[in-house]
Amino acid sequence: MTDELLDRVRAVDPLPEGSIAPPFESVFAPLADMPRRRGRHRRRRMLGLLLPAVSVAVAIGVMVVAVTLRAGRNANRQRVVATGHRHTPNATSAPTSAPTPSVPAGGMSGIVTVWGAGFSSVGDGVISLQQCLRCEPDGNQTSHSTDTEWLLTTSDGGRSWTRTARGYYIQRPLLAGQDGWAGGLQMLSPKQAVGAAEWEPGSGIARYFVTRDGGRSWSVAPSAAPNEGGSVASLVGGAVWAVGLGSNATILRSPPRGERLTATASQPIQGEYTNVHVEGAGAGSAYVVNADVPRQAFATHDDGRTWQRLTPPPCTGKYAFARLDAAFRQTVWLTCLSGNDRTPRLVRSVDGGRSWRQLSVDWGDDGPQQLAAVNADVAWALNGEGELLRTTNAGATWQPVWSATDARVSPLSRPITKLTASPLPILSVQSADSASIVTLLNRGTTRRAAKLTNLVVYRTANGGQSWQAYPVRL
Amino acid sequence: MDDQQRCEQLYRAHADRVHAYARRRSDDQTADEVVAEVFLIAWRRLDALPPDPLPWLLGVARKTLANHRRATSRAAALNARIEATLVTPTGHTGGDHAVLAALATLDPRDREVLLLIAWEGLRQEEVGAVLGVSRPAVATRLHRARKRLVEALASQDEPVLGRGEVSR
Repeated sequence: MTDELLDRVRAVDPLPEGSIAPPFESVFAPLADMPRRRGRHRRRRMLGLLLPAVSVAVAIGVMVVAVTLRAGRNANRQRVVATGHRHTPNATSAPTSAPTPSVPAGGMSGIVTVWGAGFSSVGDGVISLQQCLRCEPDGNQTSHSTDTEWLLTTSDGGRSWTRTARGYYIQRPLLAGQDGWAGGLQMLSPKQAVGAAEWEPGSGIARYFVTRDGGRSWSVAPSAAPNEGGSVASLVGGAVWAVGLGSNATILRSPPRGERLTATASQPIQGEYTNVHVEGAGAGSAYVVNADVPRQAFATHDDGRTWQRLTPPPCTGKYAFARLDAAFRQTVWLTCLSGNDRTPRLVRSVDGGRSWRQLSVDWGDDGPQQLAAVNADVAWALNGEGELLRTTNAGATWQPVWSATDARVSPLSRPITKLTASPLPILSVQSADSASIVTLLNRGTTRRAAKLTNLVVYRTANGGQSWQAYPVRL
Repeated sequence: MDDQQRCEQLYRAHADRVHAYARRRSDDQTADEVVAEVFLIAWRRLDALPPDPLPWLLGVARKTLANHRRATSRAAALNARIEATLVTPTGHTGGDHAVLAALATLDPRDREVLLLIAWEGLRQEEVGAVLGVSRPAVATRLHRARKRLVEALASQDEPVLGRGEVSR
């Protein structure tokens, strides 16, 4: 965006001086008496209203009852703790406070954002970071701001990390063994990277990147067409599926250990859409959803030569597909929004999309964020409240194994709402039992411009029963 | 600080921005309703708000506006409504009619990215948070919007602008 062009758009702002909302009291007074939606919020508010009006004895009685109820409710929940040492769950014991993992000295100034993380089952891992220096305290960039893109890599499962500055950022890096793929943006120089001039000729070109050494070195993969790079890729059995984000949402594919993405023989989605997801499912199968347009989900079982439209019965009416994950060839789990209230649904097919079964899962108020299916029975799901759920019985029941906000089901000693970046943890699933979560927090402060020292990777190898914490030196 | 104080602090910090966002895309009464609904939702989700809540609030406002339009059946399509707003911006009598006309030719999704940056003053990451799309997707839409805006202006015999450094 040229400054002159941007200024001309600003000049036609119908409200150049902004706007003034109604007074807080006129809007919020009626709302103050309304109950919160979540149970724990409602209980807390009820306590706050009752306490001034009742005696100390009654208050103590209420608290005793509340604690008893909570203990009963938690009896079926696995409590997960993690520190620098491994802990095993003990559902019958009282919750214990998990200490904050020991963080090495050092730190990274400015505002740091985690773009993505990928881990392989053999101990390799990649975390993509962006560091913005001289940003304003509220995070806005200025003409003096500079961005630096960093890659953190490990080859020993997270015990030691190497940080390397890159001239590009990668989003959602994927690793499978030593091989990995990622979409990204290559900057020609740090100066030209200022302001993140994506897609601007002379400043940056979107590319795909490939690694053969667990993420320690990357090379630009030959692309199907200039500026066709995108951020979404799927790496299953060595084969890569991706979506180009150029003039059209083009489905691209590379054969196992290939390094050249080419457009599939036919394209299921026509148009300039930017919210398209593709997931490979092995043996020539893949699934595609377009979250921009209702009723656009497709499957291929012949490497993209033909596509079949998917029509899960619960996903009728006004809806858009939101998330999808394909476990293997005939098994696919996907979420969609259904009905006028756009209720999130989760459906699953084990016959390539010919028949569907609706599953029940608590997506919270913000709906599904991440879905990782391992096979027909095991899947992991992260909802908008930062709660990680896992099923081992094909979605019949879901076990909460991690929570970003509920300390009783969290490996963190304090709620993750203290994050300075990465509003939600980043989940990477390597197998039915193994998963990693990347979190970024700032020693309990919410000042966004503070020095960041606390990036932690939590890994589990037993389905979330216990977690190992790996603080990353920044 | 209790929940009431936290909510009041949140409201005083961001309500004007949310109101302006809604007001640019609807009438004054609707904007008031959107603000009330957005902060009702925020009140319910107070403990789970992100550290920088503005993009989240604008994202809720965007969905609330869309629901409001469906419920009232007043506009046939978002495109037509925004175009009407652009052509006759409330409270704005001056204006660069060439730019307004050019903006009206953009794809609604691309235009939304452009206006969130130019009018709401958001960064690309924040725009992505509002729209629920990735940063590359925002970059793509912004690139398309910029390119077509220049083309549209050129077709009106406007001087074609040169490329320069991105300001945001």
